[in-house]
Amino acid sequence: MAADVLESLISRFPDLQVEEAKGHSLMLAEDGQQIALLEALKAEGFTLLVDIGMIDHWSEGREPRFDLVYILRRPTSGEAVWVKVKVGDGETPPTAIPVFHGANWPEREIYDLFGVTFAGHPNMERILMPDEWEGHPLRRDYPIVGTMPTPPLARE
Amino acid sequence: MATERRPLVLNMGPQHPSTHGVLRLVLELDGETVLSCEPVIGYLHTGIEKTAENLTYNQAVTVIDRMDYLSPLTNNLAYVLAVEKLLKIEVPERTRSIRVLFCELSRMASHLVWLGTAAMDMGAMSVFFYCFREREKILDLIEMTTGARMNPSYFRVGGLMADLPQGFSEKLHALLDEFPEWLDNYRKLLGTNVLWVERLRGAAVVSQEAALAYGLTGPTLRSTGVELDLRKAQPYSGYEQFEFDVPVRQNGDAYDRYELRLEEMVQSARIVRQAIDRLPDGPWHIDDWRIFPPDKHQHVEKNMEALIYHFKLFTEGFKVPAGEAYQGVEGPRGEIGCYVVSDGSARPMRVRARTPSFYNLQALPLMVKDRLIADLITAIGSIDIVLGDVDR
Repeated sequence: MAADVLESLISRFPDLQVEEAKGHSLMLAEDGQQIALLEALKAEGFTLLVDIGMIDHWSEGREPRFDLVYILRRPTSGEAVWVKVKVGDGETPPTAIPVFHGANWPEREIYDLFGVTFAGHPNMERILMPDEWEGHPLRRDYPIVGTMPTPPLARE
Repeated sequence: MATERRPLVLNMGPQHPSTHGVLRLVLELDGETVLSCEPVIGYLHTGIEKTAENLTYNQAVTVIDRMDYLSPLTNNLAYVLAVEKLLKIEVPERTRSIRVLFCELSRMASHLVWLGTAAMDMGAMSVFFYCFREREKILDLIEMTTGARMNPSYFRVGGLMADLPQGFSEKLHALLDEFPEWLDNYRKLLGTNVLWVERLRGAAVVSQEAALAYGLTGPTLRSTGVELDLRKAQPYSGYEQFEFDVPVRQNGDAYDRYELRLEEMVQSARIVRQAIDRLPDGPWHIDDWRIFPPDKHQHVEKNMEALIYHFKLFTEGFKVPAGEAYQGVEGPRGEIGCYVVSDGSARPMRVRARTPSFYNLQALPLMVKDRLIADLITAIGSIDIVLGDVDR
């Protein structure tokens, strides 16, 4: 990332930790800062929302257990930046929809598969799993073998 | 008697033929005008990300294949490159070129399916037969090399499943020589067809700003004037050595996407020709028995040490240093990304797949609002979704 862009970001977010990796820069944001940071990055030209993903560190016993990762790209150069926030179980990070409309579905997917709800999301419902599903399958403590009975083929 | 005018709620799908898979759309209609459209997805959810967590790194290649089943090799590439980043290994030149070659062949095959099905949605039946006939010739080449028409799992961490077979180059050159004629035919069938052009022009429009905010990639993004192609912008697997152009259009409508995809096929053919003509000799996999299995006839049958490595690799797999890596590649539909997290064991702790169709489909309601229901069919065709890619 260009030095001047980085400097202006750090002056606005003093707690920001930045690592340069091959192919992208990684920013570790403080909890609650990520939306303002995403907005600032969007204003700096990172206007393409590539992905919002989540990683569960339960098996390592880490607290807070989740990593929420936003990947943005600068459409002119393809340069990528990651914004990473730690999220604990039961916490409700704010939705990124006001900054990127495309955050709607990936945030629903995270709710569906990890059980983390986003504050301010207009439609926080399951997206991939059936509505009546119990549990959130991509949590590391969710078993790989099915625990629910096979749904009936037709409704009575 | 005065009647109240109420919108009609219509369920389209999940088994409508023009939805290209099991997509359900809940439409609110006023006559033939779409007031709102809500895609309901998940009918093809197979838990690929969860399954991959419970497989060894090389086994996971076979499930990653099945996301975007029209261009499985591109999925493979994103995944193996991400794992190779974690392992900090570089594959030989020949491997990289063969990977590029097959990715571009996949792109051509995938665009042919798109062209055939999109044209069939519009009622142009015959294009479908030609496209599938010619796609089969590409799949023949893939089958000749990998043993499977679809889902070949050809790319492995550290190399390939096998080297190119004998006679491959001749067959590929024959195909490439034929290719311009195929395109001519499609252009004659569709490009000069008033119905096709009129239905596509001005339909399914998306603005540049919305396209970026919704995370659209691939031809759908490039039709709005954004020149972002990861093969050029952030080259991987040696794409920087190939000469090709990135076609861009400005209107952001279905017709632009049609033109872009035809043009992309021409560019893919250019890359394939360069790859096969300049294909370097040499090894097609890394020489590290801890990661890539030793050759059966040359080593395993003669050397006890090799046998042990072979056995360990297929029973336990190889360990990957802890860390995380993301690799985005330019697939036929847009950026296919694999985010692989390792905890140091022989199985990935997390495989996150960023699939282009998921994001592209999200913008569908935007494209069809206040348009006719016929334009909805055009829109679904023009964004080229694969439901396996959406639901994973």
